[in-house]
Amino acid sequence: MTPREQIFANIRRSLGSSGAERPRRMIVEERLAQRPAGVLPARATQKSARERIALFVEMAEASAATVETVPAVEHAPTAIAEFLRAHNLAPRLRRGTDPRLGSLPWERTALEVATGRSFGDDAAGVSAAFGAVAETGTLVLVSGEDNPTTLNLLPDNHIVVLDASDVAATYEDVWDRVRDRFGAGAMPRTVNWITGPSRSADIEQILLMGAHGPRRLHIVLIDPEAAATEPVEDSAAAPAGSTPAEPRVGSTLAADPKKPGEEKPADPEQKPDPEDEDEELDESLDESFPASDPPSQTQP
Amino acid sequence: MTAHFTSPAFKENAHQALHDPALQRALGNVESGFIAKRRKAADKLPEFEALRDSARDIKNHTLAHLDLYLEAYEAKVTAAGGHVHFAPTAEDASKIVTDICRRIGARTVAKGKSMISEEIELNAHLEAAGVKPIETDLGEYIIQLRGERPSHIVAPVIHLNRDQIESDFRRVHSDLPAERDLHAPESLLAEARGVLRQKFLAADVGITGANFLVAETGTSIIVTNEGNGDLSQTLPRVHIVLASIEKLVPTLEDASQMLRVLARSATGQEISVYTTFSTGPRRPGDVDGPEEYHVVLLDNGRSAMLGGEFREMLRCIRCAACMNHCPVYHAVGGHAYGWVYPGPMGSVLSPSLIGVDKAGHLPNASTFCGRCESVCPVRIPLPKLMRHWREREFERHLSPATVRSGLKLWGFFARRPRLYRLATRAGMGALALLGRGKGRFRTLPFAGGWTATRDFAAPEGGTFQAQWAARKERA
Repeated sequence: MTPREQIFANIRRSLGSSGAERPRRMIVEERLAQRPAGVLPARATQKSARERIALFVEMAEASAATVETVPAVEHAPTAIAEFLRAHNLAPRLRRGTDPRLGSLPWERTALEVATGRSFGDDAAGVSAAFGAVAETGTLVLVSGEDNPTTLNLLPDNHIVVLDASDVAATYEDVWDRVRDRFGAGAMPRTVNWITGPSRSADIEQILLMGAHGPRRLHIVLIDPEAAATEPVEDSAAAPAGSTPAEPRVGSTLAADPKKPGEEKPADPEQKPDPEDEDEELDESLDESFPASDPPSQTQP
Repeated sequence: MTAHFTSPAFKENAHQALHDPALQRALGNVESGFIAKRRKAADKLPEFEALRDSARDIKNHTLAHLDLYLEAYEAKVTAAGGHVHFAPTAEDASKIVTDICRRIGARTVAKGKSMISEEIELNAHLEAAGVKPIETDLGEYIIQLRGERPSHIVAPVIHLNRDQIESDFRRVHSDLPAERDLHAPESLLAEARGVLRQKFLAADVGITGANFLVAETGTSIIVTNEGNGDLSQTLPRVHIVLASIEKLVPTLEDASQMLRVLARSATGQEISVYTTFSTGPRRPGDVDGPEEYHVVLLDNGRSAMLGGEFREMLRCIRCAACMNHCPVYHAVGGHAYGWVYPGPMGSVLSPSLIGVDKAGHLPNASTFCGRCESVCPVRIPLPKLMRHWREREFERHLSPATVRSGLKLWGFFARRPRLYRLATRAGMGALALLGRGKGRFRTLPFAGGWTATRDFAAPEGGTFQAQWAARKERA
């Protein structure tokens, strides 16, 4: 018996089945074809399109991502240039060949734009999102030449351009779109759900931002209707509510020795962002993340 | 290579753990952190309890049709250009992995966090084959530097304090300036990030575990916060997924249900930072990603569990909520359990995988308070399963002589009700008299094992039988 046959024989002995019974096969075939949805959170499903987008922004910010809303896709390059300048980063970035990014008016900015995958030398990577999920403020990116996976992971700063009309209520809604694009039962090589920047709480359960992945996640949300609805944005629509900052959140942004030349001011006139990085994180972090509680009783 | 475990020495391990001040200090972080965070996350989602039922039902359904879902899964992986390898034993799984590494001439392997890798002791096998494994999860990296085992399935170094980690980093990263400041935990993380970045880029093979496998699409799913698992599987030329057969779920919808309970139960997050769905190797036109994609499916005793009273344990999604809420785990930590899986889930799973003769002690390390079952996202009746193991241990005469003779003595009195009442009344009266005023004993003759680390409550208000009789009279 091959190892495969051995495992199947053991499973079938335990289940008391031959594996050939018609009704069992029917049950499995039906489940795979019908894909019942299960329990869906009302916080996301019972929302108008406007509320859904507001929920996405709130949840994304709670995960320590930053979100900037612009009224049209042409504004994205300027917004990205501003983001880099605000963080004292060189005006350079790398993107994939996604036409949604390729057609942007990059020439309106002083940005140096490279295309292709990252080998770890890029301070900023730009991707176009396949979609997003309001439920948890999650971005959905798919692999391919258009948006290489390495750009999601290696650059310190990951900037994601997201069309507001692609913000879905639930994960299930995005799976339907994946099936529309790639065919039922098929998947791109990688689907990345990304919710906030990289972090670790392995040391004494203290939440530290900036582990192996990007230390900043910035979302440029293209939302033509935002201007009209922004003032009446209903804060009660969001279930998470705004919660007080965590007691103790660290970040490797402050701890990492700067590599020479990597984070030079883009413009000598431009003052570095006066806001302290750690404070920024404190304010935006929702308390649902694994931070430590007592600040620390160790170390004399 | 034989499996390494110290589970038979649970009592000695626990004794040592209780007298280890550094460990006791570190364990405070379990109780203070995880419990409140899970509570908050669960409270924020009104559907959470319904999702737990849904998660339980999905796992039960999959396990009842596991052979068929495995067939469907295998066909999809193959169609996407991947390879599925079946490993009946731990030894088989390690051999499959080392053979792949040898074939491509791998020198280093970047590893994401995988409990299956711990279960099969993969690192020792890789090293024996001349391949260098590099753990990339911060916790696992520290564990590897120390030559230890994880003490928790989600937070591997929960038993350590930052000063211990600092001295490990100073010892191992000896090429870095000695005067550098590593006082703050963020400096430790920044240093690990810098050191490991180079290793990711140089590795020939990436190995990850899988939180779930999806039959519908042949997809493996990993869930991380650091991003190390993604780097491990994206940069090297070969990606090997290590997974046990019970990780399967039917569809992406089912996986989404499971993901809604996983992070909330584990770390109290709404969702982890990175949830990654991988299907096969690099596609035509792709500019990154692995050229080969392998899945090693481990059985190692699980197919046998499927047919017995421990089947429900196969629903486990390794969130660690049970150990986070366990008073015994809070007191002794994970290493005392002596093998890969600690806490209540380990007490049920370990005897199934390494034998009741070796791990039969573990189900006794329970107060049967039921907190584990009350938080389990897939509603595994852990206390009931621990009781099953106790019964088996007794049936097989594996309980220690003191327990057996104690039970025999109790049995003698229990068969003689009058004598029993007399003896309990006398014993209790004496204890109540001695403990009067204080309400508890700090030391007690013949009970030093108990009173060394906790007080013994002094009885008050009559025996159980006396109180029961009085209550019946009143009613």
